[in-house]
Amino acid sequence: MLKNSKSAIKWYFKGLFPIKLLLMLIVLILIFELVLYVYYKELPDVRDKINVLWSLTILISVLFNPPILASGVAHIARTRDMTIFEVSLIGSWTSTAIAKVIAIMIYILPYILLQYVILYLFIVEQNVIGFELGVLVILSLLLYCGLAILLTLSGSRVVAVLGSIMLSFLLPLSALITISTLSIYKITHINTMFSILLFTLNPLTAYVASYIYGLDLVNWELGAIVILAVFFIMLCFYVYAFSKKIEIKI
Amino acid sequence: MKLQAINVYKKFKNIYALRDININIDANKIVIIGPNGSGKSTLLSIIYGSLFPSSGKLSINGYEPYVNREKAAKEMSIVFERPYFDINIRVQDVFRVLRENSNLECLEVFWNIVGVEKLKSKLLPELSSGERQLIQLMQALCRESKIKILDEPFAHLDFLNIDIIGRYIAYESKANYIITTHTPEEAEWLGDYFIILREGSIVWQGTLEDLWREELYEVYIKRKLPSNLPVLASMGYVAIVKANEEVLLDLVKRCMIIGFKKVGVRRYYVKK
Repeated sequence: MLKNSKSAIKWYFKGLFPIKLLLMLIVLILIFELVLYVYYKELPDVRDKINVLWSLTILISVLFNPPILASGVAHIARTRDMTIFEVSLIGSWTSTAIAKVIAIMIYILPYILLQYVILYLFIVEQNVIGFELGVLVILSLLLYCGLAILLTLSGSRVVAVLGSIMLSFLLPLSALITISTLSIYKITHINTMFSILLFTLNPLTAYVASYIYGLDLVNWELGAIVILAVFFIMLCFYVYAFSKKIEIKI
Repeated sequence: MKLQAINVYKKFKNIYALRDININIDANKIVIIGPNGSGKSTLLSIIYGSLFPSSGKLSINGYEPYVNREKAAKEMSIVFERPYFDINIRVQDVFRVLRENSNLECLEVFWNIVGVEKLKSKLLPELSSGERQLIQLMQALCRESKIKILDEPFAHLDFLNIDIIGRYIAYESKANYIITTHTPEEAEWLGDYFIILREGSIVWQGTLEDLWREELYEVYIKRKLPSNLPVLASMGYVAIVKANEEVLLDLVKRCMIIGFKKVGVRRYYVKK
């Protein structure tokens, strides 16, 4: 199993980073963030700085995360023919499934590090929100990463890529709309389940919004545990379904 | 290799791809033959464990491959018809993975004798259908596995490569094989037990010796078959006739037929 997994991970590492596409995405992301940062630096008031930080979290969760995730999913979502070829080559369904999960995690890691560094530059300027924002960057991708991995079970790359773009865009956006609506009606107290749901769908934005609008959000540690638990369950389900349940006719 | 199937059915929506499949054999090289849509690939998928039967039970060497998929994937490697490769991975990457888990002598045959080395820099989607088939065969035949499942292994290959790979399967490889083909001669060359499928059901199974007990011959026709031969079935340039060897030899000498051989797996067309 270990030998198979090693081969499978090496196999999935081939072509994992599409240099041209990544370069284009990262340049676009850096341009957006640089513009915000220049504006942020010029602001004297901490409250205004937090507002800009909130805009940055919206950009990250709604605009930057979806294409990064989709480009990773495009690598691990394979046709049914290719899947059978790989299982036969590697000699293990489970190792192939694990390799897919590891591949996408490795794929999003540099992006997470980049966002962490950028957020650090923003956070270091004010003393309201701390470095837990770095953890929230990871969390903002994990849930959608898990959903995207599950979508690859469809056996269609188009479904997996489009589905992951749609989900990772629409769900955080729906949390954002909900938070904005709550702020308009000046509702700050929400129950635990609702709070967890908002946090899970968009941890980064929800967390910063709790500072701006005084939203009574679940504490971020509990939210992180929920997201990690959901992510872990999704991964286990994926490995189980891939190795035991999917049907592929040659 | 022991292959056993008890009342196996496979249904896709409302259509039965396999009906009441019953097999109980112990053979090294099993060949499954049948026309298009007869259920060959469906049966192979169940044998490989990638498809579940709708009802019934199939086991290979004592275990159900679709239940114990991990064991099945370890013990079996597979080639399928018309592969669609859609990822930008080079042939040399496939070779590198195979070097870690394969029979190196087999790899040597493919890399140097068959000439896969010439394709090493090519991406999988750039390969022609024949080249894709070679890569698949290299993967399935060379990876260390006890059973090789080959769905139309020689489709798109030229005669030279069919000769090299066929001889490897027939004489050198120590693995067990389950092969499907449309070509009776290929089947008879490689197989020692035959399963003939039609419309999802087994119409005949057995060995060539079983077929040879009858006085049936395959006659290779030269333009038109002599009218005095009792024809059981005719398939283009080959006809199955009930006759004795002396009569057929005489027809060959008189150039009325090109040749003849004892009936092979084409016999199942007789039932049409």
